[in-house]
Amino acid sequence: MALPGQTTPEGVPSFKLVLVGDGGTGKTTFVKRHLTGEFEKKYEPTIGVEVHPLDFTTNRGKLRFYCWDTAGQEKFGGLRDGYYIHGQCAIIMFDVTSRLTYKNVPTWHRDLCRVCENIPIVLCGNKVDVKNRQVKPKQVTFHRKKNLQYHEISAKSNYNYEKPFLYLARKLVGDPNLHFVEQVALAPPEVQIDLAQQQAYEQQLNDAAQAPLPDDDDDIAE
Amino acid sequence: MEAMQRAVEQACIDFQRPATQQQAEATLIEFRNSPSPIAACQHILEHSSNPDARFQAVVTLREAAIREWVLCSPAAHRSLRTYVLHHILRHAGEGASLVQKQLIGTGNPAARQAGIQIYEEIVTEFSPSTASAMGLPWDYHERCCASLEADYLRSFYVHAVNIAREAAPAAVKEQDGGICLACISLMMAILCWDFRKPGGPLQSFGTRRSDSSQVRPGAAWAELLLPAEATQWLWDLLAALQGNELSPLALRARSLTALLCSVCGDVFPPSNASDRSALGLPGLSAQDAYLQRLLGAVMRWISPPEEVVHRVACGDGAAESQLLDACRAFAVAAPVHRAAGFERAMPGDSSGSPSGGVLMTLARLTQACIGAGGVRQALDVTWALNATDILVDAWADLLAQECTLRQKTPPSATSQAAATAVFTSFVEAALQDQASGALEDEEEDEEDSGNAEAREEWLTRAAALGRAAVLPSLQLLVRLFAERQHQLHQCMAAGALTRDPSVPLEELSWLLRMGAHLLADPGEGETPMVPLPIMALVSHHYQQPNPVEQLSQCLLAVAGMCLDESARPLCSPRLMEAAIWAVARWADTYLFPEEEFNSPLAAAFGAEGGGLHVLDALVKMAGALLSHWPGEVDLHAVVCKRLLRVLVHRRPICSRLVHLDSWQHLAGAFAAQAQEVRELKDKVQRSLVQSLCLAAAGIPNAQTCEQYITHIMHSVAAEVTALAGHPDLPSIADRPDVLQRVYALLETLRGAAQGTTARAQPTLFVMTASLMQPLLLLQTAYRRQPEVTCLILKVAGDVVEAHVSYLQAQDAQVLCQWVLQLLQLYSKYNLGLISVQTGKRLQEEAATGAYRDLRALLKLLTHLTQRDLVDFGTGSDNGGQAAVDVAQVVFLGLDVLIPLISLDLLKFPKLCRAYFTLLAYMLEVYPERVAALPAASFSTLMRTLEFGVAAPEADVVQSSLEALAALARFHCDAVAGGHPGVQAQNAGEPPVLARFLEVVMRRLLLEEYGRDVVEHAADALLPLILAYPSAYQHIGESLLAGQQDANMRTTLTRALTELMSTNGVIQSTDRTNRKRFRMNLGKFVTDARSVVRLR
Repeated sequence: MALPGQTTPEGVPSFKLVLVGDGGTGKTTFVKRHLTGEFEKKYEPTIGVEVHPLDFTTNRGKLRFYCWDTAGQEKFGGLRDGYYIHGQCAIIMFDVTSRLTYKNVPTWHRDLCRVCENIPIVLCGNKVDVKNRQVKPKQVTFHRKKNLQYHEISAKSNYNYEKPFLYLARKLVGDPNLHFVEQVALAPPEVQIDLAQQQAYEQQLNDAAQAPLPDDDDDIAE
Repeated sequence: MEAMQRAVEQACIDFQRPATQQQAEATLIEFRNSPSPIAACQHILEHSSNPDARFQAVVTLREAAIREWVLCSPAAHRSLRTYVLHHILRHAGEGASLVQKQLIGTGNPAARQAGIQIYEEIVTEFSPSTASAMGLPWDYHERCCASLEADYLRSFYVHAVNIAREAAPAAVKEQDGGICLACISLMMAILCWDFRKPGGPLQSFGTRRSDSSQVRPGAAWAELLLPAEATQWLWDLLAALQGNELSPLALRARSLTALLCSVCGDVFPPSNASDRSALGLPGLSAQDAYLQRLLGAVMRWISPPEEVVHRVACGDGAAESQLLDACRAFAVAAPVHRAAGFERAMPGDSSGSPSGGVLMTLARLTQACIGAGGVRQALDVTWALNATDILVDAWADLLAQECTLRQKTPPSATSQAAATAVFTSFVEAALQDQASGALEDEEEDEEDSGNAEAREEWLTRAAALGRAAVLPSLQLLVRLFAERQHQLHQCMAAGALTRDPSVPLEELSWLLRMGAHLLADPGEGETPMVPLPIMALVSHHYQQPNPVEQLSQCLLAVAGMCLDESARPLCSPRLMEAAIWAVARWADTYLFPEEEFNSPLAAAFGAEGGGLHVLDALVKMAGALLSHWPGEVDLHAVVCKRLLRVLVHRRPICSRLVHLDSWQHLAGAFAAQAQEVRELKDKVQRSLVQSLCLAAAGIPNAQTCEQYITHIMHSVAAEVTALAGHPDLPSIADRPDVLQRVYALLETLRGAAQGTTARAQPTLFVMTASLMQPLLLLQTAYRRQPEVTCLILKVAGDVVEAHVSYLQAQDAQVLCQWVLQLLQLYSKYNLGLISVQTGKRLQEEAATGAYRDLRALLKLLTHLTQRDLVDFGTGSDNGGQAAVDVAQVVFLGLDVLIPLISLDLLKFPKLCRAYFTLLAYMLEVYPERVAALPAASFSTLMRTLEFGVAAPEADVVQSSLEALAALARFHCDAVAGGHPGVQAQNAGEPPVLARFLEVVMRRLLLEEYGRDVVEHAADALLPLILAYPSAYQHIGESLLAGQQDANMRTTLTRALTELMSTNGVIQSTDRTNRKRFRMNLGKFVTDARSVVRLR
């Protein structure tokens, strides 16, 4: 079910995945983790929507999610639920260090279900790596009420990264034993190389390599 | 109209193509936000054949209706409502007709189904937590909500039950047109209603009353929910749907059953079951009878458990769905009825189950799920993991009472038997998992934090189960420890390994963590108590040996293997890490127990009993592991951060500790900076010296304490001084070995600062003071090593935090002077550096560097402001002495900091928060000095403030608004008193501060807001309006200019005038007036938003 106009490789099934949740819960970081393997430390709100193809290889062949990474902040919302149309599966993200983002999950779920009936949905509690977590696993009960799959994830430490996709893939393909067969392919980071700059950089790297660096104890993005 | 329809249709097609998506999106957004689009929407709904276009039209219609509702005439309201209802009814059958070809019966079932769905939407909309954003005040939502609950909700429910019951027979044959399904959905929506407590206060804005998933409908619902006939139709329906368990109706019916299981609270009449049996009353209470009926229904989905689980494992989807629904139902009923309620509802001899009643069936189900892979993450059997996860939660709730409350009666025999069975299965499966994992080559990054936390969580829940049957659980673990230790020792002969010990090593590592979880709770800074079930066991179990003591000795014995040289080949770092973690957790509770009356434990581990011996052994283990396991950073970190920290946490232990030879030995090795100490990673060294310093709390004599601290620190201090004074420092500074040493020394100084206690503080300050000059020299020497520069700032931050509130004015002056010099050096060497680097990576590197420095600086300055509090308190005692001018130092710091701050850096959340916290403080306390900042700094500061006001994080917004309020009030008062205020900085047209009027207004009117934003904004807005009346007027005019509609203009004009004229608001920034203005602003925001905001 390739979306019209998407250049999907021949014969690869693709699915529209809608990614929703409050602003700052880490939706874009989660997607970027797949695209480049890098962890984005800064917070730049998404405006409207960004669509990314995410490829996975399973024991039954390749498949692709077109991930519609939507804006969490209302003021950057664009079409909001207008993006959900034809969504075949969804991830609702909240931030375990912020109670408010969990409290808003029912609203996201309701808006989603109004547009997409009966699609598989995964609820994801992100940032479980952070020390002062506010929403304890025990307090996460919404998924049981609504029969969703729940996963705790950490885009920062890659914890459970594939789980949501695996669940959705199994549901969409209809094979409970489907599994991913190789390490999720990470696209090479896009680096623009400026030769002179590169040389200067390498020189600095060499200099830096002379001395052992202490690693920083203050996590940047906690 | 036609053109609009074509444009929307085309946009909907383009929207699905990546190349044209953005353009199409812009078109759709424009359509959505266009004024008065309702007619166009209706046109598209009626004429377009493109479902996407109709979808966009209906969404636009919904938004427009909400947005423009207040402005439309009542006639327009009526016509819109009629149109929508007609549209729904006319098209009701369309969705259903795809699945179902014919409509049967008289009347129109599709219309009826649509009607029920409207009821469901009404219920959802009336509940504040699920209502659409309508820009209405919460109070309005709350009143709607109260009215629906009081007057309509119960009749809706009765209505739904009656129709559902009537439609059920036809529904089984799929001939009811979806009515039954719609009714069940409506009932679920009603049960999910956030019921208010009778007589409870009105809800504060937008928060749910309870986070829990329980249904708490109140006494008035008893007659609707509790009678047998209220649910009989549902059981009949479920029975009739057998063989069709995956149909939407069956799924929904099971969900409804689960929801009914979570009903709790006053709906159950107060007579409770134990009273009944005490009074000799026969039969079950209403609550127990209700549970009995529900459990009876749910049990059918999972009987017999083993067979059902087997079917699920073979891929039976219907069985899986029923199994998971049953698990959910048990889990929500568990906290309401507890094990005792379950037992009363379905005791062992009940005919419904073969043996042991519901609890034993539940135990068998759990065991079967565990057996199918429920605790083995690696197998990745999702359903088994989920089911086990839910069931273990259920067990924790079922047995919670027995575990946490001081109850005279122990858990019933059945509960205990069930808990034992489940705990045993869990432990066996987990060990099996460890064993199979041990032989896998694939190295997973197990230590990542998410994973570790999930493991802890599991162990905590397993421990709760184990404690419900504490004696057999302890005995089980003791036996397993003995077996696995024996197996481990079998792997060695004549001092050398003869067999691969991987399996017993992994198993023992797991047992250590499980044992520690079973025995002790985490301390988290407090002194944890002995868990109650264990306490009860200790005081009742007179037999020797005591199992609590036995299991404790097991943990200690494994950890103690590191002291036995012949056993060392078996002590893998992983095993030792688990062992030290376990004994640290254990020691926090059991070593020198505070409740000394606990005689068996006191004899074994008390200060007067065997405790001293254990303490000595633990210190020796720490010493051995730090010196004989070189390079094992994780292990060393556990030793220093867990074990040693626990030992220095309580004074009674400290006072013994410092006299032990083993501790003296450890302190001596550090004092002499022995080779093995130097080889530790620098951060481990920091943690080690911190513990060593904290132990000084156990030395009562001031002189001895001074000697102890001096002994520990003298060689480090000497080395820092010598290094700083080294004649060739510039040439040797960058040598790797020297650099490495500098890191270690600086981390050590941080550790000493972090280990400062009241008793050791004077000595440590003298030591630190002697190092101030050398540190300045190092700062100069390492000006080209940003890592070192940053580390020195961190040392300063820690030193200030540790000492600033203890110091006399004179010493505080010394400290401030030093920080001032550090900042001057920093600004001299660093300001020019972060600049014109263009490469992307380099820019990022530079940003990260600047980030680190800034956070260190911010921490340093924030700690320094603590001194203000000290001086406020003692201001008068200082007599002639001038108070320390903290502000001078902090402002110099701000001077350094502000040029480095960029909007890009503020996107790092932690830095952002720290920056605005400091800013709010400085502006509130020293607005006049901020006003006097150099123009460039001032305008940077204003730019960051603007960023802060618009930020998404509530605390950043609050700090920014507080800062702004302080500055604005200062300016307003100054101008009123004939002073310039921030005039000098405020040049330009409009003045800088006046611009904030617009910034704050935009925040209030156009963006998401919460009540607290309005409160904080009010304090900023009032002085701004008073100071810049013309700017306020200008904003009003531009808001009005944007409104075409006359009604809108009237509403807005009134709101703008009333803001500054009603409720007795006058031209003043005093407290009463601020309060009045705050109230006005609340109303203004509500009114103006409904007009201005396009949503």
